[in-house]
Amino acid sequence: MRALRSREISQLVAKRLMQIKNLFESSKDAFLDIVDADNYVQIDRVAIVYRSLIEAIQKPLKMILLYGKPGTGKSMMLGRIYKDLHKKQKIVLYQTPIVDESEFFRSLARDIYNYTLKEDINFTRFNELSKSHDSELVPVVMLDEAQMYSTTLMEKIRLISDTRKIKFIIALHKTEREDIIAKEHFQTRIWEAQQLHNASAGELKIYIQKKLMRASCFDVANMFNDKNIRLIHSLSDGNYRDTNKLLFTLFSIASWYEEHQPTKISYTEFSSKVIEMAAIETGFIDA
Amino acid sequence: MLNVLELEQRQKRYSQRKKVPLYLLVVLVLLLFIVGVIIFTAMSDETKPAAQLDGAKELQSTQTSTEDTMLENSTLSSASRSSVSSDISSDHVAKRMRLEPSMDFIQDLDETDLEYYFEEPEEKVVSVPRVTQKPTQAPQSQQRRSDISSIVPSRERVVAQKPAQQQPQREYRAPAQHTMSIERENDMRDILDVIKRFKRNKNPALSLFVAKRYYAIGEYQQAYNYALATNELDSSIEDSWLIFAKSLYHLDQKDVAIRTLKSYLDQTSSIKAKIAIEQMQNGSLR
Repeated sequence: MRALRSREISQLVAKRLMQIKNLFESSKDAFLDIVDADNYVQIDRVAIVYRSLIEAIQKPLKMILLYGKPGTGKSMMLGRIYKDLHKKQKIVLYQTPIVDESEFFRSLARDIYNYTLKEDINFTRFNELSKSHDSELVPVVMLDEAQMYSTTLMEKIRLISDTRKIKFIIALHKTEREDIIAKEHFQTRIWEAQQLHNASAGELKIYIQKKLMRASCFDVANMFNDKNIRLIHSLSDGNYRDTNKLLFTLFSIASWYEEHQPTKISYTEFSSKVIEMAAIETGFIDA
Repeated sequence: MLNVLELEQRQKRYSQRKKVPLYLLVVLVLLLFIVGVIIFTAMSDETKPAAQLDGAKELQSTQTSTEDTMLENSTLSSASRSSVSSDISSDHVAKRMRLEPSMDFIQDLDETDLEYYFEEPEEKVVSVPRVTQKPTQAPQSQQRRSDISSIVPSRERVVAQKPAQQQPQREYRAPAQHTMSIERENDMRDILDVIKRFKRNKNPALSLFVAKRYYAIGEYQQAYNYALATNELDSSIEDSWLIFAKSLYHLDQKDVAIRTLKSYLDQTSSIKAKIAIEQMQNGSLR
């Protein structure tokens, strides 16, 4: 009876698949490793961090720290905040670190105060500019990959935040070194720190299914059973970036099978074999 | 460029490699099991002789105490007693072992069930040394015996038993020869057991055995009865005729005994019957 039902489902899925040219191609695109605020997936724990950051921005805090392991969604979080707030207040997001000090201050002057003169702007000059600009809403500057900035520049950023003319949200990888940076430069400052974690297996399932549903890949979303999710979670350790890479490769392999050997792939669930092949290709499994 | 076929091969190798710890675990568990079984077997082999040794020691101690009692009751001279005592306490005692079957369970048997086979109920057989003694009998037994007495007069009942005085000497020799002797103290218990079995299955071999045992202990009346019972079941058994006739002989029915054997001899030409007749005639039959 169960076998019959399973066969019927399989036939229905196969029939549905006939209507679509290549099922896995569109699924694959949903997991391209790009930071796009539109692809931001709201998961319970991430949503809490998001709300905390939004509330922190409203408070008279000078600096806010967002930290977590690589691939936990810091960049995506900053992108989402920028997207949600940029129409309401002055907010700047630097996803790529500007290591040169002069270039950094010139960029800040341009993006915050619309100062477009091509003169060299140093720390003193920038402070003069900020004093000359008063606004009710303090502009927010978000610096992604802040661990790339030099210690000197970080100290100057701290001094700027002390003037309360600009709020900074600094996103760091949580490593030993970055903790030291945080302690040395920001320990005595008023700030709020939020940490992002890797996803649990349950969260990862929601993440994958939400992404696939947004891409209208409902059939593929249903192909992931708990066993598949547990295997993916164990391979990626719940890291969103690694999960994206793994699933992108998984769908690439599935897409190849669909084109070349469609009898070798099941349309009701993903086999562990295909997931392991994807993990071998992405380097998560050393084989 | 994605090389799926190569990936398949790599995945296959990975899958096999992944199972290696499982295989190793299974092998390890099997090895542990085998080692455990070997150790257990070895340990049980070690404990077995120890247990046997303990049993032997217990037996020796029991035997020693029994022998002590026997020695106390005996009429040994003080010199011989001291020599036996010293012998018992020596290492030779450990090597001497005498097994005696316990027939206590027979005591629980209801003797009234055996009345039919005895045809002489409540008659009590008493083991005595070879000393002539008139047995004390119950009135009922006397009634029976009076019926038989028309054929056979009342006799002394003698149980074949070695004199108590000889026992210490035999006990004393045993350790030197390192022999094992099995002694039946009470033939009557054996007989009762066989009678019970005979009652159940009416096997002439059993009744013949009973007849022979009774004959051996001098119970010629009972021997006569069971020999007759055997003969009724199977008249071709030579021993039933011989025991029957010999019992008659010992019951002072020499003429009847010889006549019986002669009638049997007419039918079978039995050599044993001829010899028995001769022994009866010249009075050498025992």
